[in-house]
Amino acid sequence: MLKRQIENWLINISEREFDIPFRLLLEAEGHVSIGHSTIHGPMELGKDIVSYHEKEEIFYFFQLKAGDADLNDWNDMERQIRQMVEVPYTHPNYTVGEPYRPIWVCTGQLSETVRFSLGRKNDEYKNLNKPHIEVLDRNILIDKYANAFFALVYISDTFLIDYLRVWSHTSDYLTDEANLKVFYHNYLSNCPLKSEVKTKRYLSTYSLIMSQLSHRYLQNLDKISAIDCLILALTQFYYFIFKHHININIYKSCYSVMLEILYFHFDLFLEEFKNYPELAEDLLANQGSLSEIFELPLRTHSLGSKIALLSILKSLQGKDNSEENNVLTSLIKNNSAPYCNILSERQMGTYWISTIGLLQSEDEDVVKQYLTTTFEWILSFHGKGGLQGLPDPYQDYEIIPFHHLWIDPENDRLIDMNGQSYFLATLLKLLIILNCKDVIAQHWQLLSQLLIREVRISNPAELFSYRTEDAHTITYTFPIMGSWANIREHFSQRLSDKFDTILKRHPESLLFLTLAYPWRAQWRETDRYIHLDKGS
Amino acid sequence: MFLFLFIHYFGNDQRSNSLEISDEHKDLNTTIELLKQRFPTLQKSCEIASHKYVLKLLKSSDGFVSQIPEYPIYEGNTSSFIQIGQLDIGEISDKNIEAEITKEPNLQEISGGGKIHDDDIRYVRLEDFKGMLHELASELSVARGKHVFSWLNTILDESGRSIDAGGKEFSFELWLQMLEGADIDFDESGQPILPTTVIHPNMLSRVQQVFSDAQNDPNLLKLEEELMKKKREAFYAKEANRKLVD
Repeated sequence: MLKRQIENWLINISEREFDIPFRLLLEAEGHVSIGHSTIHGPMELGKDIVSYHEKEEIFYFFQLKAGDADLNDWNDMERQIRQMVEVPYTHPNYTVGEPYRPIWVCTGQLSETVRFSLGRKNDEYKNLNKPHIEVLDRNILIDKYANAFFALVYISDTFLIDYLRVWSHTSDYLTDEANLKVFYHNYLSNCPLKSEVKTKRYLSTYSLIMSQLSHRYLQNLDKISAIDCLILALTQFYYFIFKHHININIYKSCYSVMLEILYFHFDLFLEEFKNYPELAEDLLANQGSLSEIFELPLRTHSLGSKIALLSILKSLQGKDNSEENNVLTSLIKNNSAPYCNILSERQMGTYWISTIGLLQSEDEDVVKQYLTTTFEWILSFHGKGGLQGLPDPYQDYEIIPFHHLWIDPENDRLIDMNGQSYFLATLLKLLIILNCKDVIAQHWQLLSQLLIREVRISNPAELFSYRTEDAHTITYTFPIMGSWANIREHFSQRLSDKFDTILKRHPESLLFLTLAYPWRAQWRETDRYIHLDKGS
Repeated sequence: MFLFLFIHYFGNDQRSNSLEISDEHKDLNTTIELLKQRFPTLQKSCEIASHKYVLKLLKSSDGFVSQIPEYPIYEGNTSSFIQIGQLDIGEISDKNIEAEITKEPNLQEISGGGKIHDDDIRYVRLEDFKGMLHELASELSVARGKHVFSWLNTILDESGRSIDAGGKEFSFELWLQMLEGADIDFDESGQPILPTTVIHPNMLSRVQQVFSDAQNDPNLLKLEEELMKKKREAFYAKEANRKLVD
């Protein structure tokens, strides 16, 4: 998987962009760079990079070429080879006559004619007691880069410092989320759009970057943050390709690689449950801190939603998801209270996905019980004076203790959400799907006094943005005497036709969006992921 | 007086206290514990929020102690209170220099604790979480109150401002005797700004009776009036001296 990703990157990279990553590869292999050409032209004298390998005690001359080399390239190639081998290198650290190895580096493949011509050239140099030209083509480069994956940077100069800052300061996803979001956004915003080749190249580097960042979390043994980091990167990717109407042929290859990376991480994640089935039994941390009462529900949702996501993705692909369903069912059953008793409306995303996942496998009556418990729990935060509702889904999780203790936070503000909710729409949709009319009727007294908030976005691309100006906030109210038929009709709505193209091509995109930006959970598309015949 | 608040937290986790876990299971338990996701940013915000909440509770508890002005110490853990030109309490000297600052620490550590059970966490019983913080604040309040009164007693004894009632009951004359030794300020209209009086709850009915009876005793009222007159004159004399001389 990693080699495919590197291959995809090498296929698309330009010579100029290849410069830094190749020099970093040399450093990773023990070379010391003593010179490189900053101007690519006649004055470089056939040597793009000159290095010294301390252990081997020999100099290396490198000439770089991007793309395949065929007969048309041979004239230029021959000239550069002659310069590389025959023109002395002038540098204070190099004495003419010292041994060196000339290497032709090609990110593509050499055609047979070129290989033959090069072979003849080497025979010629052998007779002249000159060193023969070695070649590093794509296949060799793939192996080298795969071996040195974590020691290299693939990104261009412009974002190098930002990337290194993000990479070196990784902690856990929630801590890093804001920085990752800004970095991904800035990087994608800089993508060249006028040339399809350049766009493709840029996006393939993006896939490498997200792979490296997610692997960075793996190095810290944090598989969950690795997955969250990838989901965020994918969501920003969707925004970019939809906003700029990028042709699928341009992003198809790197997108499939991105999904492969995600599945790779999911496999690692699920492996833990196979190795330690106890992990799905009790999520309470024995060595927990004062905040464990707040962490346990988030932990349950984080795990549950990821297992559910994998289950749904496999279902969309027609693959067997029984293993995921078993783990999910066990996890939620053993941790039903922290699953149902949510602490923030921001959990609407993880709850939506987890419940859809549960509906794939769990008995409907059990899911109804969960939904009823959550519904009653949420309502308990509304109505009477002195209650403040649940924290706004747009507020970070850090607000949770401040909100429930009603203490002013340092970098945010308290919002009295008593009587209003974003989450209720999602919950009601799920209750209606399972025909829980009685549950809704039982609580109509309070429910009919609540306001349901929703942000409507008409532009499909903007749906995937973090925050957008192109949005309209709607507040729904219920009539005093509610009509079950009217409610069902309202909650049978789907997103408009404008979203069809995106959702048909990438049905998984809404799922990733929901985990990255929970306030974007699209209850209107719940039916897309549920394969149950609920009847009337 | 300055207080150092030290908040303990401890949970009630019977599983971790078990001595019966085998080494093999201990490793498995450790491994599983390490796999459980943590939320450092939430931990930090919970600590800050809980700390603020407890301080808020402390402020609203124990009316008398809460009225004592508070000021944080940012450096070191000792403090002194010196009037320029005067000497420390108890010190006798004819030297016209500042008394040496004492180095003994005078901050007192107080602590409180609260309990929350595993099941309260599992069922997200937020009221029990708040209850734990209330319990903690209550313990801190009690500990703080004890230290405050202990310290006050020491100060009053050292400065000669404590009165030994000799086992007698509280009386209006005793009350006047206490006021005699106190500094009393007066407002612009000449009314006394009497200090806050703190009594034991058991004394409440006796004190109420004494003051009620005094309202009907002209002799006692006259004594009080004379005392207030004396105090007023002393106050005005003091304020008249509030100027800078050579």
